[in-house]
Amino acid sequence: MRGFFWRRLVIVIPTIVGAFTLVFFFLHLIPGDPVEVMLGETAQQADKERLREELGLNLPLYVQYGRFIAEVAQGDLGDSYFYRRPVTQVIADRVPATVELALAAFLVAGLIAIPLGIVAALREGTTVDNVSVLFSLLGVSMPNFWLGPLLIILFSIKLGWFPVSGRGDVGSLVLPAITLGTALAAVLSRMTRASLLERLGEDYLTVARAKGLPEWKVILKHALRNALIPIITIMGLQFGALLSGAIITENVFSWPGIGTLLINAISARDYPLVQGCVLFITLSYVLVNLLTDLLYGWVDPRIRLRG
Amino acid sequence: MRKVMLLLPLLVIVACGSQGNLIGTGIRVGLDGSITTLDPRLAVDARAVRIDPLIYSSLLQLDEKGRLVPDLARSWSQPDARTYLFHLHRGVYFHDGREVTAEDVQATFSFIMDPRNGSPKRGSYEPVRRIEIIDQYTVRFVLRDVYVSFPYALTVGIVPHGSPAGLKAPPVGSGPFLLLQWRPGEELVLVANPCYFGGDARLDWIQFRVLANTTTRLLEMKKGEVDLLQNCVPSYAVKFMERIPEVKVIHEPGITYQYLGYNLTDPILRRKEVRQAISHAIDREAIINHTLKGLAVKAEGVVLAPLHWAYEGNIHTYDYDPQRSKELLDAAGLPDPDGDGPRMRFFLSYKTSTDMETMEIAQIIKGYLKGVGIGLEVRSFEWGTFFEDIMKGNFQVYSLRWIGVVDPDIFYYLFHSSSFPPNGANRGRYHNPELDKLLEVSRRTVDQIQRKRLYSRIQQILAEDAVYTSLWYRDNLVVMRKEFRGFQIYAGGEYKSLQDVYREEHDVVSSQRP
Repeated sequence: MRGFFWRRLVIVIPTIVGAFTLVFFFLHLIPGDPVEVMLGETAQQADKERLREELGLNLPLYVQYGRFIAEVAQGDLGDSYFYRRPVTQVIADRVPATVELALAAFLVAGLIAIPLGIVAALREGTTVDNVSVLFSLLGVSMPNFWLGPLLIILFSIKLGWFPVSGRGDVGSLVLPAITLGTALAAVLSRMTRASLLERLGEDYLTVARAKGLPEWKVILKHALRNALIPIITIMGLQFGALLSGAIITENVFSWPGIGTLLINAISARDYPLVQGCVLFITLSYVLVNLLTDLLYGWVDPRIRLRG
Repeated sequence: MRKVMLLLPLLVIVACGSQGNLIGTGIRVGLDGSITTLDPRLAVDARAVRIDPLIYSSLLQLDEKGRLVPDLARSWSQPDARTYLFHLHRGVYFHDGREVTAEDVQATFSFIMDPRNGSPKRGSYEPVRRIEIIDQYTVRFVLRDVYVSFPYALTVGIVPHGSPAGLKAPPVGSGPFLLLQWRPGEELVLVANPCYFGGDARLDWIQFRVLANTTTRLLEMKKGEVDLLQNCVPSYAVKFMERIPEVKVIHEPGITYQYLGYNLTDPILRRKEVRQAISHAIDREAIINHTLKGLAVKAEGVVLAPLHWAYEGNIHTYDYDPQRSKELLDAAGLPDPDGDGPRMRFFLSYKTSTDMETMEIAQIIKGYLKGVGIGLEVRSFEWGTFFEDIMKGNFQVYSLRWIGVVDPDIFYYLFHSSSFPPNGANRGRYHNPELDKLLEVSRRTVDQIQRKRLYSRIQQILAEDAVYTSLWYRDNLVVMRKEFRGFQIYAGGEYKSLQDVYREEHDVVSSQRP
């Protein structure tokens, strides 16, 4: 198990270097000059040149890349051009809001999707199943920029239960979490249903029933546990995506997360901040996937043994 | 006074109750985006520039009509054309209790002028030879050359000498409000400065909330969690706002000038008749009435708004006249190959940003130009890419706006042949020796009447040459809750008048922060 963990961890390094390299070169390829954004059109040409020199933007691209990798290796992500503060600080300010929203959305999705998927599988072809299909269809089809305001109008304006936007107490988390979690719940419930249906005809369930196990135990402990592998895979990938920032949901609910920060950083050509955000996102994906792999081992001991 | 100032931190604690409540009467203002820095020596983004006058006092300030009036300066004089002498008010204190002196004025501008500090505002102080402290309350600016627009550069907030640059802790000011809390990207809370030299503010606090999403901003207003929105409600939503009984919608003519810019090095667009033809082909009144819902005024002038002292209305104008437009194109040797048929005389590329309203207007203009036989290919780009193309001259036609123009010397920056990017904003590469000469003389002419004559001639030439197609001046649009009174719309959109705003229902003792 420990070997498995370390092997997976070693893969993280080339993944991060690869992501960094791609983002570095793509970012420098797109038009737009950070110095123009920082100093504005009215600044003196000499000042622009001085700043370009100070930031090292006048150097050949490969030299900039070498310096950048060397700095990152020492844990220095540089200062944001836009905020004039260390990138690590700017990102650290946004991480709690991002993680909070991702976890809440994940919780909403899990609480809706898994019971719905189980019931739909057990009642295949009935009205319950059809309702779950309708829910999934709606959930996947509704864009967040539409669902968000709709929820605000109902729960905030009409009923007055939650604030319209902003990050405050737990109440402020509810609507963004539902908005973000709905599409994920739709996918997960279908996945749970399909995966569970595949297992329901297996012989080991007949054996379990023959042993006299209660039906809920047969379903939850034997069928669902074996059906979990594809569900965990999807959940892992989706959680990584949630951590990389839910740009539209953040925008609708004025939620100060990583997604908005990254978009603004790209617009401002704030190279260090974009790269910092990419590092955070890559690390999130890698760690969540590592966690997913470890969960595979827990769910299916054969994977652990092979590892 | 100093003792009172030293008690300010205590007053702030009193202003903020427990659990994040702000005690007293306040106003919640919605913003459509974040503020980058509050340091007045560095801030160039429009939101910060509009909020800074609440926190910082400056030597001079712009009034609601965009005119220069004294602020920290008790009086000022010009012993000769290159020298400006300022006498400061005595007994004015920064929020940390230090008195504002000539040393702080000198330090603020020296900071901006020091290239090591990388201030985007440095260019405006290029003419300054030295800044001298005459005594504790008198400061003198000596210029290298005559530059009559220099006082416009003195509206920057004054900060205490020795204030480091940075965002984490913006320097203190001496304005009517002091900074209580700033969460970048979320909110900014200011509380009234009880020792403000210009008189007490009538509100106890102001909360600026970043609400980047338009729908959310409108819904926050509907729910009553925002009290004021200035210039961040789209035209199509005004009717929705007007239907909210607790809300009033006010709009006044503004100075934001929208125009079409041309690349004059282009073989087609270098012909004056083509640019004039385009100007005649667009029905600006129809766009204002239908798309902008009447929230703009047709622009007949060039850049400067009609209220400006240097505005010249007696210039070549371009009414909607498709027939005249066709005649001009024929005269330019660009006949329509098939009359009113589908073939175009020629095609042009029109670049714009991804802003929804500008893209919609671009499509309308495309329709008008098609009517006179000009094919327009509308291409929208993400802002950074779009702007770089404009700066590099990589365009044929584009549309942009000039915001908050008060200094007529902007004509030099926009149209002088030495102002081609990156040295200025003559993006169309317009070159006219007669205009160059007028621009050079006008910035050195002290006599206001003579100067006005020069600027009139400059505007006449620009209009005749159709260097820009003037579209409209956008109204300043304010949506606010009815119980608030005293808000005055500033031409440049500044929030300075919040210091005079009051709430009619004084029975509200405490407002829960959202």
